[in-house]
Amino acid sequence: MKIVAHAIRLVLAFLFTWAAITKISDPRAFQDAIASYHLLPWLPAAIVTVWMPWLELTLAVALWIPRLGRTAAGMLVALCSVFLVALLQAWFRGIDITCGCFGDSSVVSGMAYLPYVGRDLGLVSLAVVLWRLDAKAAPVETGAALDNP
Amino acid sequence: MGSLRKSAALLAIAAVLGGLSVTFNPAARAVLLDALREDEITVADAKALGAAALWIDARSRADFESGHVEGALQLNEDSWIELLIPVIERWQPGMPVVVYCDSQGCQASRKVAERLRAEAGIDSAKVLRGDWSELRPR
Amino acid sequence: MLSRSLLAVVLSVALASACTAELKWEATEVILDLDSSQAGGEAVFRFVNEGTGPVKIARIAPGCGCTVPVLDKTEFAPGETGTLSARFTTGERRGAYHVPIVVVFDDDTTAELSLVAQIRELVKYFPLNLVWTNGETRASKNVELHWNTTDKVEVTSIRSVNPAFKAELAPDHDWNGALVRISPSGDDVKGVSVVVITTVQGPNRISRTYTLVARAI
Repeated sequence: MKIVAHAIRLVLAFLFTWAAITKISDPRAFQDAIASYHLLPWLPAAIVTVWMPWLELTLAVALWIPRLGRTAAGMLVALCSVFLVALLQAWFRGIDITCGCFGDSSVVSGMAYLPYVGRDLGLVSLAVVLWRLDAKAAPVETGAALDNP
Repeated sequence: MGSLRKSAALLAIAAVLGGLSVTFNPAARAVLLDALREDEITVADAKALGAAALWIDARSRADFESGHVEGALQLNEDSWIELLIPVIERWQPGMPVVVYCDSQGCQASRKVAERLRAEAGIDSAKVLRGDWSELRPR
Repeated sequence: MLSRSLLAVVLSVALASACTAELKWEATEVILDLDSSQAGGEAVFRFVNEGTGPVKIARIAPGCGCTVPVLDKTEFAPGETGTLSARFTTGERRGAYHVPIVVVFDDDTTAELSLVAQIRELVKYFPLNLVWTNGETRASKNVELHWNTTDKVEVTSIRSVNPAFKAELAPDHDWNGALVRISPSGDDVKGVSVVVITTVQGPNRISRTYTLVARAI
């Protein structure tokens, strides 16, 4: 189980580090992508543009810190759920968007949403599994049972 | 409770890093300050270009006829071809081009500038940021 | 005491607002999915007067000349439903257009609606402009047109505004589209031309033009 947890940790850390770097290197492109969702007014969108990539990077690093790993995994569940909801609402409204997820600037419309929704669902699932695995591996003082790998 | 505090700490760390990025990264600062984009030009800079610039009015015919920047040519997506020809004939390589429409939120000037850059090879086409009426003749 | 007074004021204001005329919109944003073979589309905004007084619409201001609002009547009694149509013209537009539509009532209050038109271009062409640089031989250059649809697209005319540049359909291509050849008339040609390619698209044979600029320096 420890190996599985580490493997998931590696995948999530890699993906979110990559996502963060693409956004930090081109904030304007990420800002345009957020604007394409038509969800946030200008100032909140600008704050998200600047803050989000650093949150992704912080969580990617925190996954590897023993006392913070589980919390980081839980926060990634929440973050990926937010991405999924944003994507689904745009799809439901019928808007063409630029995903902005991993530096991808292609336009997403109609059925082209499916792979992006699938990817986000996959990320949420991985984060949930890691969070559960970390909970099982947590020390006795938290009341969680120890799991023998 | 412990995990709430940890979450808050991680959020705060990200906020501090984001703040530092705004301080040290001009691109991040430009986003937060809604700074001028590469394809935009301020009213002051546009005024300074004077007669050297080619002015493009991206509004409707009715708006154009009720008043426009002196010497401006009209170009919009309702009559693109008919209006493009005089623009192409007037423009010379190296000539700056300023495209304007009604207001800050107006999309027409942005669309026209994009098409001039992509379809006409006019790389210097920029969108006016501000109120064009400051450039009207008295 | 102060908080109770404040609450009373807030409640009074809230109640007072509830007594004024008010339109409730079924949706304040309508998305039109179009492609270049369509002349335009219509966004329909439905509303009901949920207030206790009549509502009079003074004017409607669309944020673009590409959108024309249509309203059958301007006054709505309490409980009455109505429809505001916004007719969007595709023209030569491509991509996404967000048109704000401001509805101004006779009491100077406003409601903001949003029409989002997403126009998919059925013809992709490249390069988008051609340049012969100083000293470059004025050999012919080609422009590829690719149809992004299974519907019929036909090139009906190709015209070069400046006769020093000849533009014609070339036969040799192996993709679903067309090939246009632009040829300067001689090695000493300097100048510019707009090449206009006219197509008809789709079952309604909507005419759509594409322009490219040919420049010899």
